[in-house]
Amino acid sequence: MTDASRSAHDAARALRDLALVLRPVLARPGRLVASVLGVAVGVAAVVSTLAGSGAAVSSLGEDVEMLAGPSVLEVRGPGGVPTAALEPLRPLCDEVLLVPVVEDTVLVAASDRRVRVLGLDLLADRRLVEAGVRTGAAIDDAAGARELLFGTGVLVPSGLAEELGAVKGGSLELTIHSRRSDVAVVDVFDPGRLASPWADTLVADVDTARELFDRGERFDRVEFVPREAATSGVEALRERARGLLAGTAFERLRVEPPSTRRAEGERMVSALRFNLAALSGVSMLVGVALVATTLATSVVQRRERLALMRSLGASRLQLGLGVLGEAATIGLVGGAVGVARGSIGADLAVAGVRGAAFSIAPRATGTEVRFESWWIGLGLALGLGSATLAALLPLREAASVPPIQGLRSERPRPLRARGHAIAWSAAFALLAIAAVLLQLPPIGRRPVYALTATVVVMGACVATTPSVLDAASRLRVGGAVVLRLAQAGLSSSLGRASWATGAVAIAVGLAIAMTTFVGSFRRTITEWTEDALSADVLVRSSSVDGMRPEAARAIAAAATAGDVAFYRESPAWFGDATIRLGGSDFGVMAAHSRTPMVAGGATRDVFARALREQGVIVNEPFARQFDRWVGDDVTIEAADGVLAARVVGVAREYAGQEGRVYVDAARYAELVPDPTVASIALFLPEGADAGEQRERMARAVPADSDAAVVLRRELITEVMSIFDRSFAVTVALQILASIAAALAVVTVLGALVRERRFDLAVVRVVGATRRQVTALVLGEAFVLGAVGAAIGATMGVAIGWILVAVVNVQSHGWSLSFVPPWVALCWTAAAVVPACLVAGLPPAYEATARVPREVLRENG
Amino acid sequence: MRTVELLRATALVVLALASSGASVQDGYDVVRRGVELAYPRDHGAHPGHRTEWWYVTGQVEDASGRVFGYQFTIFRVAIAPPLLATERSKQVYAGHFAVADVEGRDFRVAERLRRGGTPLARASVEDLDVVLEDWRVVRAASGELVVEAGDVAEGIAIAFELRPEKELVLHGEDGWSQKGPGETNASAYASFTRLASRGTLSIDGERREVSGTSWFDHEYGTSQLGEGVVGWDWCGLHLDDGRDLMCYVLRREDGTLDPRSSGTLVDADGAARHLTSSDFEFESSGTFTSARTGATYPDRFRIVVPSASLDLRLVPRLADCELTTGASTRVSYWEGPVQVSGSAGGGGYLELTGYAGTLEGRF
Repeated sequence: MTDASRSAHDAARALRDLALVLRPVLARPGRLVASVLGVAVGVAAVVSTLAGSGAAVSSLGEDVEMLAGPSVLEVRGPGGVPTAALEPLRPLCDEVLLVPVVEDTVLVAASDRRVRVLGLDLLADRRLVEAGVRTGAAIDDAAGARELLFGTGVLVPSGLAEELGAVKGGSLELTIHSRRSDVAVVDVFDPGRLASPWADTLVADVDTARELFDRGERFDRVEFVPREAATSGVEALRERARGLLAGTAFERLRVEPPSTRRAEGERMVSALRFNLAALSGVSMLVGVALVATTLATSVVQRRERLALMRSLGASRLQLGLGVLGEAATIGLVGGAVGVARGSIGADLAVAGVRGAAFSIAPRATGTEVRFESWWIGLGLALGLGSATLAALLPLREAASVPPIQGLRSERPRPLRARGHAIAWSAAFALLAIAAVLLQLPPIGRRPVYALTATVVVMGACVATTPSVLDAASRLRVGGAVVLRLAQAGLSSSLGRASWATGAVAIAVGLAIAMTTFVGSFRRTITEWTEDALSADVLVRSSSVDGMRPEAARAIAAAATAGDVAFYRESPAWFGDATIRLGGSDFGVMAAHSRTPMVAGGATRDVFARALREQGVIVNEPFARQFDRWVGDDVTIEAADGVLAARVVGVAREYAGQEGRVYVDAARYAELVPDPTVASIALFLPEGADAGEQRERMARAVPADSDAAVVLRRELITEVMSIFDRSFAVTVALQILASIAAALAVVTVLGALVRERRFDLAVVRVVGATRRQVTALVLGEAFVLGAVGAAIGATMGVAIGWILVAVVNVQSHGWSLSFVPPWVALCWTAAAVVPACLVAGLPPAYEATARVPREVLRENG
Repeated sequence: MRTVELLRATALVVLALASSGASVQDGYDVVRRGVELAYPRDHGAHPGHRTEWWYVTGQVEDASGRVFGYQFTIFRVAIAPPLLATERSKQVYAGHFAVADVEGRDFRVAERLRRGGTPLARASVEDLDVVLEDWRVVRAASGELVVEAGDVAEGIAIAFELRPEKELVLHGEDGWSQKGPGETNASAYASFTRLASRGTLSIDGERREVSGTSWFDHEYGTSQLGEGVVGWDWCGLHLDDGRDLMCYVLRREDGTLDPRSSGTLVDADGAARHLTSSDFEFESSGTFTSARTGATYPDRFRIVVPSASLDLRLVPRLADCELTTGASTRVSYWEGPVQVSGSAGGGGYLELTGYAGTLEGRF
């Protein structure tokens, strides 16, 4: 035999072996599709959530280093870097190019699209060239260069230009600080590689950006780009820069690598991504349950064939490998389908996630979802992993199938007292572990242990299913023979029935847990907004940038009644952490505010004390994250100085998970030079006409401003609407989990019917009608559904409590009121049992479709 | 669509904007006959004029007698006239720094380019204090000029203190240096022609204490060169007898010399005499062809000032002193130390422009 023919022979043999493994899978295409879908649903949920959340907040972290290009270090400070700080840094120019940068986001007026604007020193900076950005010849002309360097010209990436309808020589209307500004499109550039961050970036000269964003005499950062053959290393350069700043007015500025900024961005979004991923990961559990039941069904259906193979000499290992082969096939195909579905679903997920992401990072631009090759690896790994995990129990069952002789004498084995004891012992042990896990602190802001506890609680509940199901099958609730037969049927196949019940319980549990969490959250937000949004009329910019002071003053001056308070906000540092520093008129707040306080006393007393003692109020996320409560001292680094003050109150806040520190407006003005006004609150006296004041203020909004004047009620409605949008993704996950659970019931019942086809045929032969057999199968479905719903409800309430009381506090720093979902419980119970009954219809049809004597003949 | 190196293209455009007659807008200040220069104020910047430069050249030697030439120049260019200027700076600064190691046959050049308006590129309007990144030329309270420049990538650095040995010289008619046919085709031009120089010079980290003699020029204007002028040959010489000579010829497209070519002879006691084109001859011969640009420069020069009994021969101390300034002004020119012989010995610096592309319309 030649080598070629030997290779061909080997290949053919491998194909035959593969076909042998796959034959049982392919023989039942319906079951295969259900299993694959189960895995695919889970994988799709994970991929779409990860991709969606990534796209929603991509601008915060992932692009930092690519846009930073060749820079090795950068100088940053709260509120930016004063222009004058370049003076002490000047000596560094012998080895680096000092590149001032202004970076922000704008809203493109026509499209409601938020894009990044990167202001670079186009005269000195080389990064565009080094990033491979290709620009046209436009800047060769004098007018273009003049507009770019000394006017308000921008360079627009080609994809964005197409999307926004921008053309070279035209203009773009941007909304910045609530004012609409036209910028000239000097050129449309080719951003080079796909997925380049330049593709979502308008490039402007740094001075243009400084003017557009009202930076005054400040840059956002100053980057160090080494000149060719620069001698010292990065650390030496850093020390040199620190040495130059030491002893100057700018010594508080920090010299850090660009990766630090990326890490900050990642930190901001990582908790969100982690939670979303964990949430979607739970749906994988349903997929695992489904695959487990499917594989087990496959084993059950082929018990006789497996027994025959054992009799003919097949080893346990060979049978086990067969099951693993099936699992791998289902996992891989399911993973691939899941990736495809997930990448489609990611676009939808972005919309859901963006709301949540926006509350964390208002300046996140959000990008289109782009397919990433690593999704394939992740999807296949998840699919394969979950299917392999799911194969463990069926594997055990397959390996334990006795030879055909032994099979003849096998009888149903009801759960004995020892079995009950084991099930409940396992459940209590798991609950004890969960209790311990709940005492552990989060890792960073990731509630890893608490989320693990939810899985453990889930396991504890599932562990009780054989016992509860067995008890349910013994329960005598009346004289209905059909129900008794159904109970007996389930009792004889307790293992498989337990898995189906577990799958239903997980689905119900997830649904109720999410409902509990979202319901509690929503109730808390509703109560909070009623109190916290106490201003009768509120003015804010439609974009998130705030309003220019002159526009804010004009609008405020239009009010003819009540008290006005401006709210300003800017980034600041608390130690190494980035926080927000807010400033408002504490005098006005002391008279009118109803913002709920977690600690410190009555709201108005807190504001009055803060004003009197020059103290600060912090929000709950700040207090929890940094463990600073009433009476503690805090030191905050702001743009123009350091604030050292005592905490006099902790305000409840759900507007974001960032830590915020509030000071009186006068102190704020000393600390932050940026006069941009974030919002204006008008507190009216009793009986004043808010609608009239709103009209007056709306008329005073300058023509070029996008400031919106809204009434309190409208704002509350909007807040709740944003809330509901933010949690739309959880509803989607609920639906996915429910679909997977329904598939589990169909599959398991189908398997049970097939396993007991002889028994059912006997029942038919002794006189049972088709309707009675149908009722028998549906009775089994009812018991499965009822037990699953009961266990799931218990599980859901427990997990919901963990999410509300532990996970949420650890992750966001928000304390919520726990609202048990009684209505949801009723609805779920009312919906799940009928759903299981519907899911029982196909198996019931299968049970009655065949002529009983044929079945009896088949089984000898 | 072709790839454009944004930096270079932009720099080119900026300089072209500043220098091209076609894109100049009205509103710049101009230098007229009778300009009244007052010092120290006029050592500082004149942002209302389109172009301005502070120029220091010299020859120094270390303790072993090893000779180095150096050139340090900061250019200021106004992109828009003052009437149109808003808060944003319309000033751009470019810098050239070159060191010629005569014995080592080594010539190194560094460049800088920055817009004004930040501490990285600025010039005082009250006295001499010009900064371009880490480079600086400033007049100290003692009257000495301090020059600091360096470039890690090129491995060169200087830190000099320059003490004027003669009073400030105003060229032309009390500083009005006409270079074209119109009254306003002129610059305001002043020099410290002889500066006792000492300080440190570093090449590749090797730091040397050096001393020698330097020349400082400061010139500003808006529209200087006349039509048809493609370049100039300029020199600033320190003669061993204590006299200093500055002269330049403006070369026209047709090979003739512009009649506005001129010079200044400064006696040992500091007395200065303006030389018109008819007062001196400036002949060039020989060739040096640059391997970088392919430009061919003359490399032998003869300057005759009959009224001062001067017949001087100039020979470059280093043949290849061509600056190609692609990252800043986009002008290639030759500027290096020369040795003077003939009726008087001495040394100085020579500048040859317009051999690697015309400068017409740029100044």
